[in-house]
Amino acid sequence: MSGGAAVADSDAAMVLAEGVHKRFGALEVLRGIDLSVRRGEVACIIGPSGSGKSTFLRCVNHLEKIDAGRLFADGVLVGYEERGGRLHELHEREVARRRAEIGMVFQHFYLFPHMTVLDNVCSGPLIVKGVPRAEAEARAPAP
Amino acid sequence: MSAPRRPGDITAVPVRHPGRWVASAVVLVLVAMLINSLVTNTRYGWGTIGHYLFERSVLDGLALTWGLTGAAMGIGVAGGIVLAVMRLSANPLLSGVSWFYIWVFRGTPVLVQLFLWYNLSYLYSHIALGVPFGPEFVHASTNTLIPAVVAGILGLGLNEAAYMAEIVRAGILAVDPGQHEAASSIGMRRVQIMRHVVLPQAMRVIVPPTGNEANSMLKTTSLVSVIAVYDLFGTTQNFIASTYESIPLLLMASIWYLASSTVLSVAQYYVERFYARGAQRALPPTPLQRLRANLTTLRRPRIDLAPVAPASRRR
Repeated sequence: MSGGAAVADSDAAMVLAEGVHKRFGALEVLRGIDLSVRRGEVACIIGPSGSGKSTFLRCVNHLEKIDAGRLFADGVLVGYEERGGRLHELHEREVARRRAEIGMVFQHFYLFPHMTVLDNVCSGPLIVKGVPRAEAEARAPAP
Repeated sequence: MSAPRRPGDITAVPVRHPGRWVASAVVLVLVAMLINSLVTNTRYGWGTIGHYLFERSVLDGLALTWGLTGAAMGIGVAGGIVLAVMRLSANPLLSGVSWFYIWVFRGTPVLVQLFLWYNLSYLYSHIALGVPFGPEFVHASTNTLIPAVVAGILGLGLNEAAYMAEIVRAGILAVDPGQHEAASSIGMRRVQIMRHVVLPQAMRVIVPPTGNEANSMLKTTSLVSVIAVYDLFGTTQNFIASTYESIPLLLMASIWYLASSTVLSVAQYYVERFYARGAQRALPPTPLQRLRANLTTLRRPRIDLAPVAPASRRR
């Protein structure tokens, strides 16, 4: 995958990538991705298998660490914090807190097979956000 | 168009299996011979067995055997989980220490380890609490702190931890890494992922070999008789020494070991069934359901179950 154009202003961007590079060993998968997706905008990333579409999405959720460039989600730097002109890795707790704000559906769905459908739906609010079970279950069915 | 009429039910003559009848006859004769010898051969000493079976000290020994098994498995499981997590740690010191522990404890006989714990006072005559390389606050003699029973529990438990570590590690590795990612993508932290997602699924892989270990431990505890602990086997040996009725007394001990391991197997079955959730569409039948199905028919019983999903469903 190589860099596209079209960079909007960073304040309005929901997802903003600037020169994102990602390498797996000797294989450079992302070579300078510039991308901006505004709030409410629907974007499709299209490309052949193995071209780095999923890798890029995983980077947005910090499931992969990027090697160069900057990635912002909702105006906040993904995975790092800039303090005193240096990048600091975020603590695991903070990464988890930010991930809770980003929705992601995996290629293989990855439902938790040991839980019921209801528990799968409630796992986020219940375990991550600490919502009481009764409230989480009340909100679970589609209205 | 009229609906097709339903044809009559099929009543076919079942296929005969003469080979099975011959094999059954041979087995039946052998079983009859065995039962006959059990009854007629007086050297089995059933009277002696019956006399000692519920002897107070034998029951005490049995209780101690159960206690040793429980305590050693407790140390083994807890230690095994810690060692497995250490072994999977990215920190080379933690994983190295875990590797070394497993290497030492799996690489030496548990009988030797038991003797070493029993004789620990030779190496360290006192055990103390205090600042490392600094002052000591409390200290006690090793022999009072570690009597023979404690030495037995330590020896069996610490040895078991090494084996359990590998079982737990296998269980954790058996869980699809995607589960870990899916859980982290909704914002779970590492401890939450372990507790809510990975370990419950790893249990399905961990429980069967753990039951095996517990069953094995039940009988391995008989080794503690060499360090003067009077468990079921130690007590039996005591009686043998005074009565010379070795075979009947050994059979008596065997009966208790068999009964105990049966109880463990039944418990294991239900624990396994509990952790099978999510892996199979229909839970396997309980032994009682199976027994009922066996009693109602002479033929191979048919146990009606909902179809178990093929493995491909999960990908």
